[in-house]
Amino acid sequence: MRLYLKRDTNPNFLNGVPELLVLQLLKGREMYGYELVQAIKDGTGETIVIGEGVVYPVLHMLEREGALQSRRQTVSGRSRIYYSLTPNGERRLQEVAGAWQRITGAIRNVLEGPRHA
Amino acid sequence: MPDIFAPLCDRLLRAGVRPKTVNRYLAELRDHLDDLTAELEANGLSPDAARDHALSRLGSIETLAFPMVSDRRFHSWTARTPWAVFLIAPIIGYGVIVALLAFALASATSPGMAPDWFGTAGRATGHFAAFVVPLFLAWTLAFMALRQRSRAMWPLFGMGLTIVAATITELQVKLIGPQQGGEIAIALTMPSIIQIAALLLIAAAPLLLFGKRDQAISQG
Repeated sequence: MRLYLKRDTNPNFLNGVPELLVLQLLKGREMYGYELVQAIKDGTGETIVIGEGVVYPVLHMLEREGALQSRRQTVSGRSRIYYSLTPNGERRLQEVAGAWQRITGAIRNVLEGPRHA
Repeated sequence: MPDIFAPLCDRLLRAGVRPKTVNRYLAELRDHLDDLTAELEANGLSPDAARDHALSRLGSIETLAFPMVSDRRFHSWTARTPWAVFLIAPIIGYGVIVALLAFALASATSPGMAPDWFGTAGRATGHFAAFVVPLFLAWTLAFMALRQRSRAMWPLFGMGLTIVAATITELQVKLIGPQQGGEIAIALTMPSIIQIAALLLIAAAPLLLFGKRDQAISQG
């Protein structure tokens, strides 16, 4: 049996957006992968659609870089890996969010068109 | 029931992703799939439909593999620098082990005086260094290569080099006589072609046998 994909996904998922979403959603609350994907769906009103499994490489890389920490916990007989933000992750969130706001601000300016005096 | 993630596992390992990372990724994907299937069943889908829908939401093999395959930070040292892992590390490892054996022999006796058992221990250690250590190192390389689905070239080259290094290196223990002094030396000698061929055959057998089996499984 093969895995397959029916729905369109956002091909640029790995270009900074997932990192921002993951860091923001894990701020002040630990979650495991499935919870996090549901939170992304709920938080973005399903505007951002991804292959749900793709969130794990993002989590692994952020953990490897010290932005996240993880712990294993057995819940209802199933071992889950919970992720939470580290102080390093908090700083990274501020940087990434700041950069994102500057970019969206710049794009908004372009979309609104030139202002004539 | 076939493992639906086996093709993904194979794809990631062949691309050089660390086995530990692959195992964790697959474990999380399996849990995610189970959660998703349970959620969809709770929403009224049949078990089969829920499983199919959950798989489609998880992503295709290429979608799931791409982030790890394309990012070298997920890759193992054997994929990033195979020459260092398969060629340099075993040679250094062999040198360190032989040096430790020589040091252990020297520590087991006092200067100018060798116990009766020392000659036997010395010969046994020499054979251990000449046969057991290179085979152990070669099989370690084979195990790593099989576990990480590495191409056979580097591990076979590394095995060959380790075995040649072992055959030209000799741990010598010479005793003058009972209860007298002697000499412990690490010497370079002319390699024996028969010894090299025999060791190579024994060392490479698991890699060739299991490698062909793994290839057949992944193609099947």
